[in-house]
Amino acid sequence: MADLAGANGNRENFRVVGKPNLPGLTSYAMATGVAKFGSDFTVPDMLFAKILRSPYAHARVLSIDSAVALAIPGVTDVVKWDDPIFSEVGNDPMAGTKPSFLLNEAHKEGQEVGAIVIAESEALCEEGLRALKIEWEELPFIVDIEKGLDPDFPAIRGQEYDESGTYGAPTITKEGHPWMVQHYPEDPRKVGNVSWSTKSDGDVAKGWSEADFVLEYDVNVHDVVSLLPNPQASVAWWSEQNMYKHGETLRIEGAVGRRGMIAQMYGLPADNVIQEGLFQGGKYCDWGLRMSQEITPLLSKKAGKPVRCCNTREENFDMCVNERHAHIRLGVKKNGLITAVEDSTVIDHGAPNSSEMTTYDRDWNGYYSLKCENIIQRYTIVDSNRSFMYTCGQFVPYSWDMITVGLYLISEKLGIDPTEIARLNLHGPDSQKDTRPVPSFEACLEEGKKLMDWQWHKAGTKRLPDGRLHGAAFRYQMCPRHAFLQYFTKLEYRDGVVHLPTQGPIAGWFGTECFTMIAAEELGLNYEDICVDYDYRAQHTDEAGGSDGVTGHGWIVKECANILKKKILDAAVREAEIEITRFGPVEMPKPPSPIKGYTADELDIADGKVFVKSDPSRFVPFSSATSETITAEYGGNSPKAAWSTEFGRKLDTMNTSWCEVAVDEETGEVEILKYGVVIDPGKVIRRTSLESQIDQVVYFSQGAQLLEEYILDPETGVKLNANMIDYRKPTTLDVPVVDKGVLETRAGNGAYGASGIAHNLANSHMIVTAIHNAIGVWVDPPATPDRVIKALANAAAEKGVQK
Amino acid sequence: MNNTTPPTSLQAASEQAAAKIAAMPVRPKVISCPICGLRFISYDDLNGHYISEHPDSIPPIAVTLNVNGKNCDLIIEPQLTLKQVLQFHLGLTGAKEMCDRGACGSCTVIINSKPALSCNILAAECDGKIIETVEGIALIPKWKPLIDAYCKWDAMQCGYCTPGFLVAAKALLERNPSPTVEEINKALSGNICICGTYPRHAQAITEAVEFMAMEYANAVERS
Amino acid sequence: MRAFNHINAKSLDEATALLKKDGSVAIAGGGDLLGALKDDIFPDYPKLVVNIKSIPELDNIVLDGNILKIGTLVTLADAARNPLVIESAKAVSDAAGAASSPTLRETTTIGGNVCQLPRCWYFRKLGNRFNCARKGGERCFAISGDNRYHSVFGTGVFKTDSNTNRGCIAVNQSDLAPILAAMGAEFVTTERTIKAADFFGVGVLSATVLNMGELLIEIRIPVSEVSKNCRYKRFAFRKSIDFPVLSVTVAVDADKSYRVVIGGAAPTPYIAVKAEEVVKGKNITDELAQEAGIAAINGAKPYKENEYKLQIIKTLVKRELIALGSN
Repeated sequence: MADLAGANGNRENFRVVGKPNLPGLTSYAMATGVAKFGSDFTVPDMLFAKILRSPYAHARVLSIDSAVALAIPGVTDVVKWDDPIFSEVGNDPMAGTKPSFLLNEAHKEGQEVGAIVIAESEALCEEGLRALKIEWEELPFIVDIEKGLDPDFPAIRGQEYDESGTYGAPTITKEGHPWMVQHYPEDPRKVGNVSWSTKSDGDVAKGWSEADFVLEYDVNVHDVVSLLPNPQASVAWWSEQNMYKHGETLRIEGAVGRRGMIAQMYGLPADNVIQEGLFQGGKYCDWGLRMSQEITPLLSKKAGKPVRCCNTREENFDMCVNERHAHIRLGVKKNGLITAVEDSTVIDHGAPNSSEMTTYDRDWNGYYSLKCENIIQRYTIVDSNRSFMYTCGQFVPYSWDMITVGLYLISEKLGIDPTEIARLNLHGPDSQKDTRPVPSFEACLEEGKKLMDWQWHKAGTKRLPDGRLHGAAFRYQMCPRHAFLQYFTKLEYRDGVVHLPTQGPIAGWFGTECFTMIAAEELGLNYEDICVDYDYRAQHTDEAGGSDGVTGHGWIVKECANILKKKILDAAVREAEIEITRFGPVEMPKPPSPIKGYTADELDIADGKVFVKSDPSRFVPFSSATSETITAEYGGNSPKAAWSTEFGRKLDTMNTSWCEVAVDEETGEVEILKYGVVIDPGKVIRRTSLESQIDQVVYFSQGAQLLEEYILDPETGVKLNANMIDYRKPTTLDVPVVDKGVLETRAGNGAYGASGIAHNLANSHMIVTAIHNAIGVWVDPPATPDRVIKALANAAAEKGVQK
Repeated sequence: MNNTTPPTSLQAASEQAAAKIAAMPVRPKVISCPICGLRFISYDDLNGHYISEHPDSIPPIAVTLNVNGKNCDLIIEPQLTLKQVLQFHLGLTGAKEMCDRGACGSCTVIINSKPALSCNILAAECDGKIIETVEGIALIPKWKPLIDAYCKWDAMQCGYCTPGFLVAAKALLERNPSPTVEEINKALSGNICICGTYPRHAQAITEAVEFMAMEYANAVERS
Repeated sequence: MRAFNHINAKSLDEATALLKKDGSVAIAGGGDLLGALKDDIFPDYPKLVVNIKSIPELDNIVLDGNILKIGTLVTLADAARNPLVIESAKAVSDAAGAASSPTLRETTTIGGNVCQLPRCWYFRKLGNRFNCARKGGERCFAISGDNRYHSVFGTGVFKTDSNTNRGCIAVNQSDLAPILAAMGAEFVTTERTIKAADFFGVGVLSATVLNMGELLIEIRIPVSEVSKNCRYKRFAFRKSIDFPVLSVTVAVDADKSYRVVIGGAAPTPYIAVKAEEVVKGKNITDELAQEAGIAAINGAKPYKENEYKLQIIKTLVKRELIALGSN
């Protein structure tokens, strides 16, 4: 068990933490429809704005004649890209820089470009957009990555985009890249639409020399869209009311949780920006704002009225997890131990201002869970006109399964259960050199086997009574998570009540509820006793790092609660000394306090009382323990976990996940028969949150592997299925129940040894691996019936050729 | 408490819902021509004005919607969906827009006792109809156990699709007061939740049904 | 949506008179039309939307002798749960109860389902981005584009246009169309009565042979061995919301004359005559069913991305015939 030297790290008895069925603080608001999301805000006398979107995959606006549009009654303004007002708005600090806020070049179909129409209704905005006379110059585009690799294909983006310092930009080198060396021995940083990045660790040559055989395989990850449930929208207006500070005040709703960013973009002190809306919608690992959420302050200033701008569903299909094609070679010993890894990946770089984090960052990767230290990764990065990829952490699990597939293939080749291969290859808790077992790996494995009644079989060898083929897959993941971030918490005892101020936003992971439970636990109070004050000016937010950030933050809350507790006890001692009560000018003697004469160390808080530890019959109610207002603040990092290595290789949560499928070879249909997840979250803080996060990520991964695909027309590069009819998210009838096992090892570095969950379960290939185990053929995701049939037909044809 | 704190109890939430319903205008504040701004005392006068002065333009139409028990006379553009009218004319945002194509269920309301997608119905065709939204359901004591169970079991995460699910669940229970898990999942299969809360709904609805049956039995015993 | 006038028609006469004018369009449940209007796919945006839901007496289901009459405005949900339909033509109930989603079925209609426009993503792309053959344009973009959900039985021949080079390979994805074709239903319109075999067609902005201003009033299903011994199997990627990628309807009469109709495979419901011939007059065996499955795809012409459909059709025809035989 973790003993991380904080207050009550070893607490054994819990009254509040782990208690089931405590309603979320904002759940009633959400369930009854009174919770307001960005698109729900409307203001009297407001105008509407719509941004022109490119109908082409890559095009430049040469000129726009807006005379006809402006003549439409109700159209109040058309703002073109070269309008000087755009110099008044800075760049979104999350999305990297670009030459100007609104450009005249679009790098994907549907990108905002050229002009914005302001009118009295959304329909009039649309009419105004249709009335613009636009001279377009269509430009060469890449929606097929193969095409982008052609050195003769014209460059699709100018130099200015490569030097724009996009978030997390790496150093690109050609070192050791064969394609690069062959074509461009003079070592340019980038040629045409292709850049290179190579990272080498250990001694790869030595790794090959130690190997008994080489295993080669491909892992293809396709585009899936980060489908946000709510339309991205904002409404903004200005006032001179100086409500909080001097100077003009901006009110913006809809840019939820990004008030600071908006202030920065408009050069305002943060205190002059008001944002009361709290509800962000399901925006998981999608940190960017959309132009519709950033532009309304500028338009409102120009129009002198509130302005609302709202994306349509099609416009919301704007961010993808990017396509990648990995060709992997593993050096493997006879017993299944990996000695060398060579990963050559071709990856879609997307349109300019995409996140580099999703493209290059390779440390959060399954290879680094192996004992094998000899790893070379060569990335070929192709610019494209497919989509944006903002700073999306959904990438992280998306590179993990490069190794899930590798371990499975070793198991297939050697005829050994893949759980054994994983056990052999997994490194210890401290580093790749650490040969000790990772805490709870064995336990998660054994529990998972029990849950699934795990009986491993080789690919294509098990047929179900109904004639379908049976397949099963297993994967583990040690989660790299956000606990490295710094967090801040404030608690205040005021008029007998403990307040927890937070700025929100409410994003779907019940983080504030967890903090409330932790604070209540430490203060001897009930969940309902803590008053959470949602205030956009508060410093505290549970947003950073999503649901696993909550874990690291929980530690901070616990420490803060203990600081508050000590201060309250000190104040209670002072209060007990007071012998006189004043009512205005009248002084009256006060009855002696039952806790008078004791020191703070001799007191404790429980059951809503401040009491004497040695004589609990001596107490005062917590609510009247002191008349003072007591504030406690605490910030910083959670401590180093009992088992973790450096940033990016944090091995501090463990899980195993499992699935069984049945494949109908004749129709290509895949049915998930059973899911199992065994997780060691260290300590369960809020059980429904934990279980829901598991469901979410399992179903998200199912959608990605069996249904979802971002489809572009090869001839024009436009999106073909950017709607929720043709882009298929699973329904209630498509997802089986996930059987869950939860182990509490208390080995994490959150409060009480919690280590969290979050995206460590997301996977790109668990179901696909189970399908292989059923039919003996790889089907690239999404394994829709057409692809299953095609893969089987290709395999049969190849077999025929071999014969 | 800062005014940005959302209601944290059903009591507080339903008070806000009641306030939203109370604030719905029962008739247009002013009747004016959207083209020339002239004001009229009745819709018929406005319509007559269109015929004589703007013969090539599309006149707005007059409808009466009974929303959450309140008759609202409206003058609206014919192309508006019920969802748009609920938000922009009546100030109700419980019905949410997600797909805007009838493929996600987030905008579910109940029209004349049947569940319906408000994004897929013209308000012009709802004249005289009885419309219930989640705000109205929140006020009915009978459905308190359902909302409680939703909140107790986290049958929501980000909360955006939740009202649509809740309205569909209420419509289901009106038809079938004790559904099986399979029947629940089927009835909710037009509602998309990106956050993956699907199993939670059956859990919450099943518990609410048991609670409601118990309450009913107790009430019978008392009487 | 763009601005349009809206009229609640009080009678069929009023509706058809209005619909005979250029730029007018009928709305029933709106499941198809409102999506098309929101997507702005029409080359000429309608100026007038005529609501036919306000016309009385079009939403009845009656058994008249041995004819099951289903009014055009009957909702899919009502058709699915109606005892007369379940008793005399269960496959109609099955299909109506599987289309779209449970909530949408409460408002969308039988008439709308059989008349729906194609779901082809070029046809449906926002803002009439592709002015394709089905809109009176010069070519079909799916033929050279992404045609994974398109026809495997060739292009549709335009009823008004003998120039088949402009062929459209969008498929008919109505759940009910193939069943009604299998059952030999008749379609009563404001102008005539049309046999199922003649009702579906390929026209500019149309999936039926209905003339401008001609409205479907009622579907008449002969209640017979065929309507009772009829199975409908839809093949979709999701268990709800999806349109069927393919469907197979099989039926048999007392003389062992079979109907095999494929939906989602051609611009109109595809009658697999070759498959029907294989099993004609015979009891179904596994071998015979397999042979019929292969015969069903005889003459198919898949495109680059949709050959997989043949495998599914072959399998479903086989399985459904076996299931029909074991009833």
